[in-house]
Amino acid sequence: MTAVRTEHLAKRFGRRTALSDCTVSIPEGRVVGIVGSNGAGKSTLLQLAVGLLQPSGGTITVLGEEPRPSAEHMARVGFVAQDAPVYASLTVSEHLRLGDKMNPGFDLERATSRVDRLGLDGSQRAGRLSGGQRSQLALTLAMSKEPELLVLDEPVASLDPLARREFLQDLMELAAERHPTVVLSSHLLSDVERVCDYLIVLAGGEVQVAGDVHDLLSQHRRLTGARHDTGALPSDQVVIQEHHTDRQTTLLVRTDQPILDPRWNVSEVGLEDLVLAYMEGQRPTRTLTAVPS
Amino acid sequence: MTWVAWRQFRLQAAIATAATVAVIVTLWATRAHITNTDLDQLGTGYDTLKLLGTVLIGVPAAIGAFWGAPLLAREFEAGTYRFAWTQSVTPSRWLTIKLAVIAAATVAVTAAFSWAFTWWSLPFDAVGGRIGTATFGQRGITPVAYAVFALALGAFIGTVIRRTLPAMATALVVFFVTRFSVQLWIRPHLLPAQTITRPSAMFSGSASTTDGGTAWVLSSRTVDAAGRTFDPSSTSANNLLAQTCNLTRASADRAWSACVDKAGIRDIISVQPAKHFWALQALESSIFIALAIALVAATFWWLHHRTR
Repeated sequence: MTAVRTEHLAKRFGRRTALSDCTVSIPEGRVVGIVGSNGAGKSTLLQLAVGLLQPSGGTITVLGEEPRPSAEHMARVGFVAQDAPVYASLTVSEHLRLGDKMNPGFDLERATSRVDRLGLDGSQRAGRLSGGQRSQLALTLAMSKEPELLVLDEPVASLDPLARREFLQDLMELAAERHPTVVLSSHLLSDVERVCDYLIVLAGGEVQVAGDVHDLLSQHRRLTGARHDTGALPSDQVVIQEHHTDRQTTLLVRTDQPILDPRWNVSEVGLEDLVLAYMEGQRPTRTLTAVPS
Repeated sequence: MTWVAWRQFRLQAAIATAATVAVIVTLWATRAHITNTDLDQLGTGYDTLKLLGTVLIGVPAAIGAFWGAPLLAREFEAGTYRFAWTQSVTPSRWLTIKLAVIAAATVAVTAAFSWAFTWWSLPFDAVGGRIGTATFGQRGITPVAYAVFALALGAFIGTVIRRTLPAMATALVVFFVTRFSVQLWIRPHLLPAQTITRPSAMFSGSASTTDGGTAWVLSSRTVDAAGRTFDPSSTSANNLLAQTCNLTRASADRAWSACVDKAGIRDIISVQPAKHFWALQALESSIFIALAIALVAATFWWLHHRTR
């Protein structure tokens, strides 16, 4: 089963294209990281998934339905938007009550105990919370909805390192206990690496690569060798990134096959390098061109 | 969801209730003195109280700006719509309940205020009438219709503009333009006006004593015996009278005014009589309620098709 499936999904705001020809399928029960630079289309994709935006082209299916057809559908999806908006004039406790009133499956006890554990004062207005506390409140509300799909847009951006670690811990616990599909976007690759087992790299409004983290890592290799033409590579090796110095060529390639060419020194690739390679590959100044031999 | 809508509105509701109660108590406390006193003998304090009618004209505008415009604009501005609409409630239902709660308060506040002020003004209206433009919008059911319209207008503009302050300002301007356009160009034609012809009041100086002074005079003109419109203050008018009745500058004013009838000089006056008051109230209110319904429909449409 897929939790989210998009086909040629596109979103334009006036003349600006935020997302184009995006085809991905996110398997159920995974913790999915969406990474990409600013303006890559992460927020747009996530808001399309929760029905806050409507596609300009293509289709998106969430838990087998078009996003936002009904209250019943929305009860299955939890969402925290970027900057974790909540109502400034309502107190923390009132937010919990709001969550309880507006969501049929809301676990008020769990929400209350999480808020207590985080040290949030129930009588405090949300407008007086720090950015990190507000995020925690919004995340608590989204988690306590007991959703099948939890969508988090930059959830840890405003948390301090300790709060971030605690939050990720909570998230992993939730994932282990209830197996929701979690889709989160982040700039912080180390966090993504810690919790995500599925990765989508967006750049320039397009999907660069998507897949299981282990598969991705095993499919990519760094090749280092004396400078020479990359056109000579076997056809099953796709160059993602290349660097040349006067003497040396470094490639990041994707392949399912072992690298047999003895001229290459082959090494494994970390997730961060892999992501950066795909993000960089999108930049127009670094287009892939074969160097003259 | 109703709890949420109420929780977010209760402060404004409390303020509005307190203000309305204060107004009603004031009007109730002063009414007995008006009924028991000759209207000419009332102190100037009562002229000040009449200004509550001007306040009543402003109330719908304030509701449009402070309750209507921020309804959605503030959600867009603060980004909280992304929070609200990802709970288990569709935006349509969310808007329906929010609008219903605020509309109920709008009707309650304006109906109470207008009913109290209409009752308080009865002794004055018996003499001065209440169908004229100065008082019509401060009486009866029109303030309620104006307020419902203003609320819907504010909500729609807030949805389109998505920023609170510009939406408030725009809602105010559009409300007053619509409100006074209807008063100026539509209300006079809602019912066929009555035409009254009578000997000209050109020298009696009491042109407004039509229908006991309580009718709404739309237009009046003076014609001579042949039916030609002419200016009663001109020298030709004086010459005509002087010739017809052999009057001179020394003749008494009474002789001049008696001659008006003899010379066939008449006033033709177009009026909405006082008895049209409630029919005009109902018709004008229908117009604003219809506009409000259209704006609410437009708000839902916009929410569904243009905001995502």
